[in-house]
Amino acid sequence: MTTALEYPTLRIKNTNSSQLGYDVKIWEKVGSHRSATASAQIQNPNFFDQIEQLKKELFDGWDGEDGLAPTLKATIRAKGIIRYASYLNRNIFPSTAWHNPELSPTSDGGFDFEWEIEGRYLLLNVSGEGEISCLIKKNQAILGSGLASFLFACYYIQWVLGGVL
Amino acid sequence: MQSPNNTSHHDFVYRRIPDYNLNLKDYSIRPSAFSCKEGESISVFSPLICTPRDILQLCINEQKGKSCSPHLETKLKGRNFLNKNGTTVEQLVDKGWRVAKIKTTLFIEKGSQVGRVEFTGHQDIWVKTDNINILRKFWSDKAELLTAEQCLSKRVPKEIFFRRNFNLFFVTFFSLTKRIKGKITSFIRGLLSSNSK
Repeated sequence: MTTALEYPTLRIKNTNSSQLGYDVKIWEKVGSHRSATASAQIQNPNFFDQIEQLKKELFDGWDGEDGLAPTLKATIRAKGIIRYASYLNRNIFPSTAWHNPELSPTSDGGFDFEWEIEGRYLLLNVSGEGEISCLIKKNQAILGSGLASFLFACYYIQWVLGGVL
Repeated sequence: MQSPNNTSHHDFVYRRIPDYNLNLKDYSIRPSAFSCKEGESISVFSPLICTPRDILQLCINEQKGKSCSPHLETKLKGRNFLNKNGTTVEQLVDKGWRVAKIKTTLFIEKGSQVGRVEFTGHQDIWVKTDNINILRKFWSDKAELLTAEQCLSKRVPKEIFFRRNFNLFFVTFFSLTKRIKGKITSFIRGLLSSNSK
């Protein structure tokens, strides 16, 4: 999938096409906009379907108030984060298992992703405008909260999965 | 839009929770249940006016009203909602919709302002969106989700019943005592006058 979003720079080595769960086109932000295909195998590939399903199912006013249906911006960005984070998990931190997050829509047309693994908690919000924000907790103590870049969001996902300290 | 006012509120409020904002495995409330757009408020309901059932009924009534709107967009919103979630409270609960109970102080202590109670029982909560993720998680952890039976119940909880009807009790009590007092005094006067004769 090719998008014009700001994906971080990534050099891809030894792409094994037999392992491909999804073909991900990652745009190189720095330098010329060359695309590369990376493998991103996700334990439960239906997770992307869940995002798509929410996009299809929800309509403006789904929450009985003025809740917006998931926006295209939010959907693309949400999928991008999961793709890139799962790619990192597979290729950079292969010893840690991938866990699909709990997904729920927000009234501003965005998505919430929640992971809770061994006392580590990450709430990742993609707003309807495509803005990313996070809440990070460890053993109920708040470690941080606020806006996050695409790359940092992926880093936090690796943290909650147990890949990085 | 009404201005925030902290004077009139009960010690807890109700919040309507759509099925998508619930974790249906363990019926826990997700932080997305407390999401709001920037510059907008969170809608809650005063227990002094609404029961959980009333809150869900209010939602259906609003959607029915929308489905009859002359504006096509609004009409579609209303129709979509009713087609998807049903036209009765029972159907809405069956779909997974619930009502959560949350202490009003949990909003106030986090710097939010509780709005005036409208005649429908609706109240707005103005939230500072700086650390909205922390607040959303906090409220979703603290809110108490009501069961399907509680959401469908037509009975008003005891504490709310007395609180809601306090004025009525007060007025009835005094009007009755006034009437009785009048009757007693007239009876005594009658007795006294018959004795004197």
